[in-house]
Amino acid sequence: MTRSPTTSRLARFDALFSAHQRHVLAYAMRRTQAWADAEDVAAETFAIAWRKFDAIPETEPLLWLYAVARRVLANQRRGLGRRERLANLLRVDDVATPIRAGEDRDGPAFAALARLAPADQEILRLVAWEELGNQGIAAVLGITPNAVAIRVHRARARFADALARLSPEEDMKYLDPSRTSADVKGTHGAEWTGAGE
Amino acid sequence: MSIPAGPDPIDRLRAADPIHADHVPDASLARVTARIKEHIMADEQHEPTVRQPRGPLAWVGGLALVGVIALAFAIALGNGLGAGAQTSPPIAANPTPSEAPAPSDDPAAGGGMASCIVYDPAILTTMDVVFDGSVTAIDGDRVTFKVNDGWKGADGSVTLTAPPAAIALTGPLPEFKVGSRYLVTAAGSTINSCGYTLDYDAATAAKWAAAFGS
Repeated sequence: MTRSPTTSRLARFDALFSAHQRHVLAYAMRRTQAWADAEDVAAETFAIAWRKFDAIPETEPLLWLYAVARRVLANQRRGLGRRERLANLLRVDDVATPIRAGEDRDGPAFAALARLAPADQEILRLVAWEELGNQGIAAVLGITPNAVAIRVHRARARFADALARLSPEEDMKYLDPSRTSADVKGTHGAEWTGAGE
Repeated sequence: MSIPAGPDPIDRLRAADPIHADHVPDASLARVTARIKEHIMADEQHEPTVRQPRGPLAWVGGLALVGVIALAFAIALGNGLGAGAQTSPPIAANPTPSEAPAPSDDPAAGGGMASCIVYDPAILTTMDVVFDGSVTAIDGDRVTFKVNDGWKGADGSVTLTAPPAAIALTGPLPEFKVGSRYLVTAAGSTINSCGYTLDYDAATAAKWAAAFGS
């Protein structure tokens, strides 16, 4: 039975979408403050993947998707900036539902991460959350694996330094399983500027 | 600047991962899936190959194409897929036996893949993993197969991850059971749906083997 190229393309796209949609959505959720924003990023990423399907590498297509999602996220942030400025002018509250999955966003690890430069934050997120190696990060960021290795080393050191600067009391509170998020909330809340860059 | 001795600080960040891919809400996945379906339908509507000379017939042709695509998606939706915030069992991704169509010798003609809008054995060669295997163990969404015939990327024993059923774009998965035999494809370590993983039958297995020249 002969199938049209479009039909075969849809089947292959379906396989790509089914295999990687969770990873792309998680990538977006880790870097946004609201479910709707993360869904926007994931949907736009796969829309671009559909349009540019023939350009997606056969090996490790997830890295290509991450690279696209990264650019979509950057565009979204620019748009959000404009939206916030407009909302301030019109005094409209942002009604987007916030992501609550990461209760530890008020913890020391996040506080330390927030103190780093955006580039350091992103490379550490790719290491810790997307669990990418130097080759994978290089593909996502469009730099060489050697450059990645150097940047990861430096970012890791700066992150360790930022963690060490947190007071021991707060650190113990974070490690104490009996502590609630409410105990920590407010301690670092003023410093927290969001998971994104 | 040097890293202090002791535990890797990255472990602290790793432990603070806001959301693991396995815990992404089904409702969010369903909304993204619905938007992608909408996007593809709109895109297909504007395919150059369906452009007709301006006139009443052009509208008929265009609407017919949209109707066909919409019907195909609707058929898939009728098999438990789609935009709703459905929660699927971890492995049993298929319609119940009473709802499932009877197997056929020709997947492309219907049978187990009647709900799929696309099926083309020629695509098998582009998959990462293709094999005939029997399930030896199921642990959550992880399914281990003993490979009976490995055509690509599989040999001996293989453990793969079953995707959630309610969010695939075009079709279901079979219900995996220990001891049962399947024809399986996967993208990386994730099992593909939509007729690219199905209950074993000899005729289809022969066609899959032929796709690899064996």
